[in-house]
Amino acid sequence: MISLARLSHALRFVNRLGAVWIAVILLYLVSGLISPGMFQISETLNILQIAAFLGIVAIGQTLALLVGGIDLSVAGVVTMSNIVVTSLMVGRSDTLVPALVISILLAAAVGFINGSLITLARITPLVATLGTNSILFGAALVYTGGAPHGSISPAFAVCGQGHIFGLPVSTVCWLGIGLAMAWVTRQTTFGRKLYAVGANPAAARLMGIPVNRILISTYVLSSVMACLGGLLLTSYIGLPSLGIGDQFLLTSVAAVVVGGTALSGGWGSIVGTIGGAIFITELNSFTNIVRVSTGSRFVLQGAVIALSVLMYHLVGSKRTSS
Amino acid sequence: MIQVGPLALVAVGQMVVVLISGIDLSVGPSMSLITALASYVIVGNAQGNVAAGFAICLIVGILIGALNGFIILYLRIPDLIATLSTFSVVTGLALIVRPSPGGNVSDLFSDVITMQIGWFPIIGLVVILLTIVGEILQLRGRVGTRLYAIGSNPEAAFVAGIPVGRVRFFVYLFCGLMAALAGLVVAARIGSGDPQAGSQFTLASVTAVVVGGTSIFGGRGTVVGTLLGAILLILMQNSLNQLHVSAYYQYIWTGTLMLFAVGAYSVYEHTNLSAQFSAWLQRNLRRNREDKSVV
Repeated sequence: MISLARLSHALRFVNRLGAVWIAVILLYLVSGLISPGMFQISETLNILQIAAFLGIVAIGQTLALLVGGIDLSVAGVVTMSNIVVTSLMVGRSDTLVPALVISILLAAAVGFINGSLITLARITPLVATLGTNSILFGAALVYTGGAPHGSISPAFAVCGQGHIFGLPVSTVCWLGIGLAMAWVTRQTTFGRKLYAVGANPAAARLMGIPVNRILISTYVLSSVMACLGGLLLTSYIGLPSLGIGDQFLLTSVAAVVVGGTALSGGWGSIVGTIGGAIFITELNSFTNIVRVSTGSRFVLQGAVIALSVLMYHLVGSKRTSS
Repeated sequence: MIQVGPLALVAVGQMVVVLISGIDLSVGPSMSLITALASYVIVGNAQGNVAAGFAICLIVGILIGALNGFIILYLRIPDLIATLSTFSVVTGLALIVRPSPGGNVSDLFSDVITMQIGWFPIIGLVVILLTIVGEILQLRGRVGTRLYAIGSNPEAAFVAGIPVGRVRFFVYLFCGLMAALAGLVVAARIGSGDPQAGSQFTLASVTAVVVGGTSIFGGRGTVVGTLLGAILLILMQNSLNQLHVSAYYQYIWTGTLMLFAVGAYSVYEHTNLSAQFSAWLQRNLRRNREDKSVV
């Protein structure tokens, strides 16, 4: 009995981790069949380089979803970090570190506000983060007066554009952060408490877990992750842009959902999200290859989100019934 | 009053969804899609054509609502993700239909919609009529009772014999219809199709609903309140414009207002502030003593 339960639990675990990678490889093969250029190392590395930005933001979104919430303010945070960093660095080298520190601190503050709204004011995460997103977008507009200017320090560009040991620096950063967060969620007590709060907040509170503190820290982490993703993206692009974060709103949720994290919280993995981010980036590149219009890309993304949730739900219930 | 029209219409639709503790994020893109569609099907000045185009747009709105309802009820996907994915799909459809603003909505249509009786616009009449009917249905009719019941406690409502699934489906249909109507008014006003026309209305509709006193958790709210919320929102936007405050502040304002309204109501509903405060005082003043209980 015990070994059967353990086996099915392990199978479920592997399935959660594995399903997305099967999709990643399948899509890679299909894209390569349509456009053989995809199989070149440089193309693959390019995809990994671009996926890093979404990947880091999606890690933060994973944490928010793991505690049973959602963070729709990531778009605003990415835009904010982009605007803040470019306007503070203005191409000089001595402003590099202070600009980075300030933007990370601002993101942490945003996350703290999100967390407080959700825990203390008892606002649902959807509404709270949607409101914060709107405020951040407006703040960026007001701060730049609609005409952003500035640029990054030259030394900063290496993060988004450089290569180290043949791999893009952004990908290395992403995988480093990803592995670190995976370790935190799986191997630390903080991670266990996070999963507990997501699975059943009431039970967690009764067990003595400081639920509010965990929630606030999670949203702080989520915003900081979004900021880091935005910083990397800024170093790739080098210039400010007011709409730069908008793409991450839906794609971050899509990446997390495709990666197997449950919407209700308490189930999911960072590693799965890494796969999900690669999948979404592959999907975007695929739509570019087959010359699909922007509109169709949105339709596709929406369908992917719904289908992934549906499929994981079906697979999950099949497993439990057996 | 003309300005309030679209917002009031979409807010009423959103209110009904929020009443049953759901949310519909796809109303903004729906409106955009309807304006894009209108720029194709409501052209020329033949009455028959215009009427047919009008009907087509309404049907599309209902179809979007049906899509939402289908995903949420039959696929059992939570409304958050479901409407997020419909948001994406409908945004894409709007872009496919009208990649950039253009087209020419029939002048006959525009004139009819923006017609005024004396100084009072027809849209205003429609909105007021809708409000009266809605209020009667809500407070006096079975419809309202069912909605409040489902919003407060879905399981109890189900056990009491209310066909929860069917009602929820119709609620999303209604919301789609309202979004379509709102989109038509916007199309009449701007005279063309714009795939971004509705982007602000998603958040604005939720804000109007919440400011109007509807609880975000469902089970409480009135149509009149929502209408007043929409009017308040438009008034504030107008006064900000009059004060020459930059339009950029609107995003900050809408977001803050919504958070404030939801938060205030939430705090009011969930806590007893004075009791909590005195309990906190007691806990902290007792810190020096040994018998502080572990929290």
